[in-house]
Amino acid sequence: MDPQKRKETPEFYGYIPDGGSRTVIFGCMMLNSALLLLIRSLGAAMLMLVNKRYFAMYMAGDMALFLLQKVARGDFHYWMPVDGALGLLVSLLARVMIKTITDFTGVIQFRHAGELGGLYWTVNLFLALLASFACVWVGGGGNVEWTLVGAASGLWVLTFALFLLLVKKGYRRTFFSAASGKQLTMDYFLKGEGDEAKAVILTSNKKQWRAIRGEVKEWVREGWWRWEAEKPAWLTESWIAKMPPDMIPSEAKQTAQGIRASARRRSSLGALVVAKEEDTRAVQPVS
Amino acid sequence: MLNVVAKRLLGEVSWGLKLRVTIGAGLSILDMATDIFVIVGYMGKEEAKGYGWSLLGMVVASMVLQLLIVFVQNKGKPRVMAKEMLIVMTLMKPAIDAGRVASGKQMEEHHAFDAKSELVITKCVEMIAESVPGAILQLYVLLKQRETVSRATVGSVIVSAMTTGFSSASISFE
Repeated sequence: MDPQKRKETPEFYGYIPDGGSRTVIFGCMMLNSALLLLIRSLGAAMLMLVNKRYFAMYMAGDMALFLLQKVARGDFHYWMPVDGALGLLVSLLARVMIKTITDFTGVIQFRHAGELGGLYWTVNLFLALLASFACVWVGGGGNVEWTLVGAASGLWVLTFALFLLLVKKGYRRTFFSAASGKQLTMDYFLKGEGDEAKAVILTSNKKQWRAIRGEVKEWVREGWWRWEAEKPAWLTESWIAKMPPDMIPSEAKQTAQGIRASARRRSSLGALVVAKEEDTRAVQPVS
Repeated sequence: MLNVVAKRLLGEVSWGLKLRVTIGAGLSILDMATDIFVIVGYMGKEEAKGYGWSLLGMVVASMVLQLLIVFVQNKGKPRVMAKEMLIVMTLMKPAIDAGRVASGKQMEEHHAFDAKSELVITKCVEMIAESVPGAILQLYVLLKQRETVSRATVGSVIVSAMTTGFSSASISFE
């Protein structure tokens, strides 16, 4: 349970109700993933038995479709705040890794708009199940293989249905949401109430919110001196380090640059993934 | 602060949480034991030696990547880093990580990411480097050499799947 995440994205986090059903839900999630891994691996192995190239082509084709739809929706860039060529590489690696993990294990967290997205996650999993049947057919599966894939798929559908039945009703729509990662990121700012909620946008990849860059810059310029006086907990060194230099008022640039350099020295990779809520080192007053 | 208090309270009252952590730790150790058993089994047969090396490569790759995560997480503190690396090599990392998240352990000054992020990154690395390719390989060998299949090999595949299922549920459970 992460209160900070529930506060930032209440429409996504908080789907598991309190009480005794939590452990049953966990059991459903665990069984669901284990079954999917067995079904998918059996299908992959059957295809590889016929021809290993078929498996490679299937995986590459499926991945290409996923990446193409991300590019077409302008949602290829991953949420991690990494710029330039490294940013592109991180985005590509993250997208490929998360898609592969989801294909074989169905991690429920990855239905998040910043990852596969709810609707793609659900359609992808059902297509993956169908593909496994096709693989067994192509591989000329016998009674054992058909029984295994059939029984495991039936059980998968049952555990998934039980899971959906037990989670809070309002969250079921997150499995069918077509929202993109960049829209979610921009919503932190556009729909966020108060500076703390809006500040989350600067911890995401700048490419995701370039459409509202002007508004964000204006908000920073307007709030900078007030934040400096009030020193809110969210105004951390890590947060300032992620801010594009042109957004900082010219009078405060020298001090901000010092903070950015210090944050970068302390943790070059850590700054990419450091959790906002944990980084409580408030910024010292800028003189 | 609120975050830590909430997690600690949950840790104190929830028997389900403790049960999940215990099952996860037990499964991880059992998974590694069955993987070693299967690797030794493959190595013992001339025609399956290549599969043994492949599976060993996956286990080693997973461990090296986990050591890399420990390096990034603790690079300012060599002594802590050495201790954490020992935890990885003794296969106790999944249990320790789960325990840290359950008890609401706070991020330390030198850390690159918090306990929950460390758990998620470690589990994703484990899945992509070992669990998924390992399951495909073991089932491929099972189907290819179905005449000589032992119950232990089938058991290993099931344990691997359950361990991966646990990791997957841990990532999403909040």
